[in-house]
Amino acid sequence: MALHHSRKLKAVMGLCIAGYVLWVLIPAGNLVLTTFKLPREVMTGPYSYFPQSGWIMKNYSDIWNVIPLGKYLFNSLFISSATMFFSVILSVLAGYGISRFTFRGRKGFIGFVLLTQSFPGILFLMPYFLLYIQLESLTGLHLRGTYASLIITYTTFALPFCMMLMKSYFESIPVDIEEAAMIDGCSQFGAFLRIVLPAIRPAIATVGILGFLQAWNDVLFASVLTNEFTRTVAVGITDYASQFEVQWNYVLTAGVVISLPVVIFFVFLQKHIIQGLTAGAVKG
Amino acid sequence: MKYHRRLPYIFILPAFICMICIHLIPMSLGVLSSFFKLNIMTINNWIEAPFVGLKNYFSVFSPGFGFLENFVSSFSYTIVFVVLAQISCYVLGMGAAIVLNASTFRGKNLVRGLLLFPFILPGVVSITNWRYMFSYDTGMINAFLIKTNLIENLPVWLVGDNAFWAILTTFIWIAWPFWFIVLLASLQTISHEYFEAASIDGATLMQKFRHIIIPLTAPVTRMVILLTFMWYFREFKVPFVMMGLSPSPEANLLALHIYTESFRLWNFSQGAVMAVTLSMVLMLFLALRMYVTKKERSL
Repeated sequence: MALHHSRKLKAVMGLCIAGYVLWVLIPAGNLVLTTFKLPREVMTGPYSYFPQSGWIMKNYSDIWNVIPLGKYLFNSLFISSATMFFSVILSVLAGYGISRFTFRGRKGFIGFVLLTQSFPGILFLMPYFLLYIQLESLTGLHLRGTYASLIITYTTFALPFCMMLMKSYFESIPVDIEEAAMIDGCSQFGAFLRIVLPAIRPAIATVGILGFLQAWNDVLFASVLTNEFTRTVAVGITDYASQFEVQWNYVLTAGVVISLPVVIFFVFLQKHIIQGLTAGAVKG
Repeated sequence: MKYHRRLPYIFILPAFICMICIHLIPMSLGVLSSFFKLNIMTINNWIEAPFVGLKNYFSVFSPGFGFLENFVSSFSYTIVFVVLAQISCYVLGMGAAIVLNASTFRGKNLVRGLLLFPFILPGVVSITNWRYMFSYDTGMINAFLIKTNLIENLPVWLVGDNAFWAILTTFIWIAWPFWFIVLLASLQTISHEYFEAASIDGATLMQKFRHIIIPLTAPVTRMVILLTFMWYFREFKVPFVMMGLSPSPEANLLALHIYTESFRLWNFSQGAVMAVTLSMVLMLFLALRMYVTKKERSL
C-alpha cells in the first residue's frame, strides 16, 4: 500500500515524521549538549541550545570528583548484574515448572503471581522498612542498606513478568523434542540442559535485560533501602539534583554516563527487548 | 512425560520462597500495619505498637483531620493525570505507528529506534533533563518563550498548576513510545488487502482509519489501556524526581503522597491506609483485565 500514495500525502507524512523526530531529539539534544558546556554558561545563561564557548570535555573528567559516581556505578552494576543473574535462574526454573508439569497448586501459584502485579511498590516499602528494623533488633543482622536486600527485592519484583514470559516461551517448544532426547538416553535434566535451554536463549536475554533495567532504574526502593555506602546511580543523581543550587551540567553529565550501559544494551539487543516487552505486556 | 511427583515443586520452589518472603509477608504486614498506631514514637518497636482497629481508616476517611482533603485531592489529580496521559500517549503512539507503517523510506528502522529513545533512557535521566528544561531562569522552555515573545510574564513551571502540566509532559515523553511500538506491531498484522480493497471502493483516509484500523487494533488497545492504567496510577518516579519530597499539591500523585505521608511526616498508619486503598483500586483493575482477557480468549 505504501507505493500508491499521492504526492501531497507523502509530504504530509514526511512532515509528521520530522515532527516526531524533533519531539524526541530536542529534549535528548538538550541532555547531551549541556554536558559539553562550561558550568558558567549553564548556570548564568542566557540559554543557548549549542555550547557557546566551544565543546568542553571538562564535565566528564570533573564529575567523578563532584559526586562519588564511581562508587554509585559500582553499586548499581553489582546490584543490577546480580538481579539479572537471579531473575534468569528463578524464572527459567519456575517457568519450566509451570509450563511442563501439571501438579496440585499450579493454578493457585500462577494466580498468586499475577495478583502480585497489581500491588504498587509503595505498599511494600514500609513493610520492608519495618521488617528490616525488626530483623536488626532481633538478630543484629543489618539488612537495611545492604546489597542483598536490594537484590532480593528487585529479583522478586521482576519475577512475575519474567516468569510468565518464560512460560509462554517454553510452551512454544514442543515436548516431543525433549521426549525424543530422553528416548535417545538423555535424562530429563540432560534434555532440559541440552535441548530446551539453547532453544530459549532469546527469552533468557530478554529476562536478563528486564531484570537489569529494573534494578538500574529504580528510585523507590533504593531511596529507602540504601545507605551512603550502597547508594545506586539513580538515587545518587536524584539526591544531587535535589540540592538547593543544582549544577545542571554535572547532573546531566552523570545522567549521560549512567545511560550508556542501557543504550548499548538496547542497540545490540533491540529485537529481543522489543519482542519481549510487547509480547509479554500485551499477553499479560 | 513421566516424572517424579516432587519434581515440579523443586522447579518452582526458589521462586515460591521469594514470592512468599518478598511479596506475601510484607503485603500482609502492610495491610496489618494499617490497624496499628504507627508513628515516629512507636516505629522502632512496632511489634508492641498499640492496636487501634479501624481508627486509622476513620482518621483518613472522615473530614476534619486534614487527611481526607489531601487524599481526595491527590486521588483526583492522579485520575486526571492517568486519563490525560493515556489519551495523549494513544494519539501520539497511534499517529507515529500509522505514519511509519504506511511509509517506506531509507533509514526507517533508524527512525523507529530513535522514537524509542525516551523509553530506553533511564527514567531518572529523562526526568532530571526535563526538570532542567523547565527551570525558570536557565531552562530551555522559558528561553524559547523569551525568544518568541509569546508570553509577557514567564511561567514558573514547577510550582502550582504549572507543575501538573510539567510532570504530565515529562511523563508522556517517557511513556508514549511503548504505545507506539505495541500499536505498530498490531498494525503490521493487518493485511494490506483490506486497505487495497477499501481504496478500490473509494474509501477516504478517515474511513480507513475508522473502519479498518480502529476495529482491528481494538483488542490490543484495550489491553494496553487496562495495563497502563495500573502502571500509571502508581507512578512515583516522575513527581518524585521532579518535585522532591515537598511537591505542589497539583503534582502530588498518589504514590508520592503516600511516600511523603510515611517518610516525611512520619504518619505511617495513615500512609498504610492509603496504600491499602490504592491497592484495592489496582486490584479492581486487575480483575477487569482478567475478565476482558478471558472474554477475548473465548471468542
